[in-house]
Amino acid sequence: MKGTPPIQTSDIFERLSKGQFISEDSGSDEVKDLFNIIELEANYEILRDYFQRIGFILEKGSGYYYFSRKETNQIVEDKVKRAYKWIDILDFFNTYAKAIDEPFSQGAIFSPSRIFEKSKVNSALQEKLEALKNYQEFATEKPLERIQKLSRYMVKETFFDLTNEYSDEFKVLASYRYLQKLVVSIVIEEEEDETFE
Amino acid sequence: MFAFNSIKDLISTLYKEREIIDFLFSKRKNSVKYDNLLEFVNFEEEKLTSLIEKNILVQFGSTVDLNQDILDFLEKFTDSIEEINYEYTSGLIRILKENIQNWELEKRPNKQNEYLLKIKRNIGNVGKDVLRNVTTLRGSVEDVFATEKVFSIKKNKLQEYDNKRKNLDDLLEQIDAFFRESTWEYFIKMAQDDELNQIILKLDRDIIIARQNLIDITQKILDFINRIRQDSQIFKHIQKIKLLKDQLLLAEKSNFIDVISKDNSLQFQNEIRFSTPLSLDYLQSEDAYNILLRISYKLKKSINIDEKSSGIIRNEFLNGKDKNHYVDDTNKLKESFLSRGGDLFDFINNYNFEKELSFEEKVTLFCKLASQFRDDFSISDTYSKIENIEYALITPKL
Repeated sequence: MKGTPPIQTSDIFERLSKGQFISEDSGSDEVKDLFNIIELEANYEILRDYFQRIGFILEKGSGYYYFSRKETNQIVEDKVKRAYKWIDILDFFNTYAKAIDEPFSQGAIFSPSRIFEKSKVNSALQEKLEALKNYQEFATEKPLERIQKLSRYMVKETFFDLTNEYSDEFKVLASYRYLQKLVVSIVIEEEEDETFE
Repeated sequence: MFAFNSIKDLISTLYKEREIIDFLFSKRKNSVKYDNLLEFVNFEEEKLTSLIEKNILVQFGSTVDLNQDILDFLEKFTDSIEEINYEYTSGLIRILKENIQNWELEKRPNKQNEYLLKIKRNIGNVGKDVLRNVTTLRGSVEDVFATEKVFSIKKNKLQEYDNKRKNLDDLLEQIDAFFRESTWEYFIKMAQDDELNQIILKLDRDIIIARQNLIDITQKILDFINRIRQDSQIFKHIQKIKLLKDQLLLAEKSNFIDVISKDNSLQFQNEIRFSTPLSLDYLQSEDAYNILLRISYKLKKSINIDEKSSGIIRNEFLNGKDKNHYVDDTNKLKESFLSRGGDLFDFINNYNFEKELSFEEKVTLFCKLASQFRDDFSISDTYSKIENIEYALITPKL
């Protein structure tokens, strides 16, 4: 090891081991500080070595950090279920992005009520919002409440930040790129029109 | 040297000569002859010379200019920046070439000097114009990034700024190319003018600064435009994946399973919980002692209920009542029924219980046994009747 791990190592571990992300643009000063600590000088290498010894891999994304483990006994079916959920969520927000003709990625700001308003005039969005009912976490008959539940769920999973509690505004964090990257890394076979744009 | 008594004095002089200043400002890109200015001072030449002495006007040969500082101030304040576009660039090169040509052809020293002055002025303004354009561009770009929330406007504005950036780049390229031309190199050699060399040096410096700034601005704009492209790629890909997922073809038609099998991030795993036993060594320490004290205090507090002495219990409550609740041992009953055989209800009805049971209690017990040991009994379809209750005949399983 090239140096001693920083004093915040246990704070970093505590967050990451819960499956949370540490994003550079988090609204929480504490998280932002932790991000800067990891970025500082050789800290990333030191922490990576350190965590590796206790079985965790400190993964670096563009603007975010997270943990993975070398070997897990997680069954594939469970992973498929989770990945399906992420795909549905990404697709839902994508549909919203298309409806307002703005990108939905890191830095985007939205409020559930605006999505709800949009869903009233956009049938694709409405359909997808309806489909989200199938997930226990978002199950409610009221569509607006469903979007709120979804947004809060994403905050809990550290992909979004609740930036303004009064106006119910959320911000998409750097960690959202992890989800996008995950889906983008799925290669579809025999695709003829592979050319984007 | 400051030639005025006070700022008031300076301002009132400027005000008095506002006509001439306004004229010179409007003609700042051309050269104005000394003689042409006389009409603005009612042909009182001493006024003009006094302005030149006080350094408000500057005389080059037979031409007169506004002092550069005043010009800068006015340009900055009126925000009248020369916009650099295709016309600016081609115009500049054309005029430079014209003046150099005339300078070469002209044999009279006086006239030749005038062309040299024009050339100096042409070049001298370029660096300033470029830097000012770059500064404005940088400001606008940063402004858009910071304040423009509507995505489509942001995109349009940045594309517009990208065009401006191209124009600036273009100008710098053309100036570079022009300075490498033989006409220019020949001209510099022949002119042998210190001031011209100074101006060129300064322009070189300005161009370097402008280039550095432009690279930075370009990077910013490109990043943004790339991100838009990337976003739209991601968007399309997610759409395709979602479609396959809904058709239940995702695992079959892509490397989906492979991807998620390889992704071992904690996002995909159940939450890890840690529970550790208390350290005995720690419990012995001073720190732990304090904590223990606190905990025991808290515990005491929560248990500590005000004790009130209750009244004397009257004797009648203490007497006579059977304190034990009689519970049948269903297991024992079942065993003895299985060994005896016959009909279950009949068995219960005639069984010698320790305590006398009512008919209802016996029915309850019958149901209890029937459900509890269903597997050991065979329940027939024939019914029997006792009192007003119909019950199924239950016998031990053979």
